[in-house]
Amino acid sequence: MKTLWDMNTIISSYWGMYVVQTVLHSAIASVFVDCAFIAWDIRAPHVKQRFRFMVIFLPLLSFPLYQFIFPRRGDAYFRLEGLLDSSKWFSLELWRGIPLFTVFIVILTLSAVIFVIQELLPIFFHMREQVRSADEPVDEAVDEAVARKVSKALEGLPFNEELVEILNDDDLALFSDTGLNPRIYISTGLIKSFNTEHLQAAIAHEIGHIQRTRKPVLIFAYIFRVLMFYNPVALIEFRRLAQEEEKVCDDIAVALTGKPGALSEAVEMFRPEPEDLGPGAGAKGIGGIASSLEHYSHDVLLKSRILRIGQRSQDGSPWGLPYAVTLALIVCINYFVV
Amino acid sequence: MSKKARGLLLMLAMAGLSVLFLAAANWLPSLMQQGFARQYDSIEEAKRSLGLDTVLVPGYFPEGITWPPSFVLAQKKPYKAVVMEFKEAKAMDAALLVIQSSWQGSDAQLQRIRMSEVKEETQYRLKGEKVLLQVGTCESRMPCSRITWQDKESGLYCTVLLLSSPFELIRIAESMIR
Repeated sequence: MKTLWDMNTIISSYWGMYVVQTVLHSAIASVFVDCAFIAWDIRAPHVKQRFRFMVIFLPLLSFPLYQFIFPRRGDAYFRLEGLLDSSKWFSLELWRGIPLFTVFIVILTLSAVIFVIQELLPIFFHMREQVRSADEPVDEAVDEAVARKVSKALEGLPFNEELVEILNDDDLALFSDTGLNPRIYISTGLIKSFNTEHLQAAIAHEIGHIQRTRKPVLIFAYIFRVLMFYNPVALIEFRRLAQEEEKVCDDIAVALTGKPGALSEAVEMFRPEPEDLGPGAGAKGIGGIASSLEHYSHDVLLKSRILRIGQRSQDGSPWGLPYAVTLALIVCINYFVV
Repeated sequence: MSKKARGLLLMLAMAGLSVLFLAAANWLPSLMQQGFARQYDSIEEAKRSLGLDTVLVPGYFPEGITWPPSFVLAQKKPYKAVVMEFKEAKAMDAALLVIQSSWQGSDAQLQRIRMSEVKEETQYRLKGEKVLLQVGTCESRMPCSRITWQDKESGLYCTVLLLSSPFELIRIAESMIR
């Protein structure tokens, strides 16, 4: 019974209602955004990103706004006439009087843990690595043939060759630092494995990432997502947003090089080996399952990118009306979800 | 029909389905378990339906306010609570509110009429029960008074709010305390 009492205190407090409603509101927003993609056949990744941004951004503001408009939105009378009263579900007793609210709390806790392990700690380690590597001299001799191949790949691309760093690594590695001093890092392994066209397409994709930092949708989305570290829907939506970003950069790469085939082949080369996929792959135990799941989801993303590069199409009509209608529907319906 | 208009119709249809889904999701818990908050026609119906053994009712009503309550809300989940509202014969709005709840913090959730300003408050014993009497104004800027105590037998927290001076309120509370 004590749990129920604690639950009442939590869900009737301002911040308790805020947490509950941000999760519910983002789940509803996510469904509506996916409905909008189907209804208006929205395919362009940069348009999809703007819609997905709504799922992360709106729930943060909607609750205080609703409460400001109608401060008694959380009381029993509003709940009685609301569209969905979450407290009914939360007080459903599962086993020995344990309410469903406990499951909800467990889900939020897991989301927060995943956020810390998968998103916050990697950033922290990456920053620490950068500070360390800044102290170390990077003056490694680069094979002349390798450097020539990079110069040739950069021909016609709007990027200064001096800002490309070659890493002495046999693995396929390519990433960019999109900070104030943007840089592209390429491993020698990748330069050797890729032909000039593939290399050019891959570098163009990274240039896309650097160009996109001027439109920092992802940075804002990340800040909002950090504020909703407990929200599993925001976790999923942020990942989808990041996946759309890869597709936006594919489009930029194709626009810069004019060679979709080369980009498609370059992406294909990043796909994991078949032995790394499937339930029996890699290490055993939970770590092994997690690793093979990660490989699998990475492969699914790469496959969808390859497929999309082949059938690239831009949405012809402007997306203003669909955006406004979706936004209005989400705002109106979420008002009645408490 | 243009692509945009077709999309709009499709989106509205999907929104309609989502609303239906949410409404069904709101109704489902009541189907699985009983005791969630709902409006009842009478106190007897609420007691019977929820199996409530103790519901304190006033034995005294000021002039113009009469039994039965114009509105009854009761629940067993997530905590026990019964709300009774009484209207004044001449007015349309509720003038007397009686709340009994097993959770002390329930007032903000259950009071349709809320005290916006407490001008005076005093704690004293009424028929042996320790009560808190507050006098002030309600949201409609009407003078109102509220009395709260915990019923010894049932352990329920009782609140009586009247859109009037405390004199009548004390008599109502007195008629409820056993």
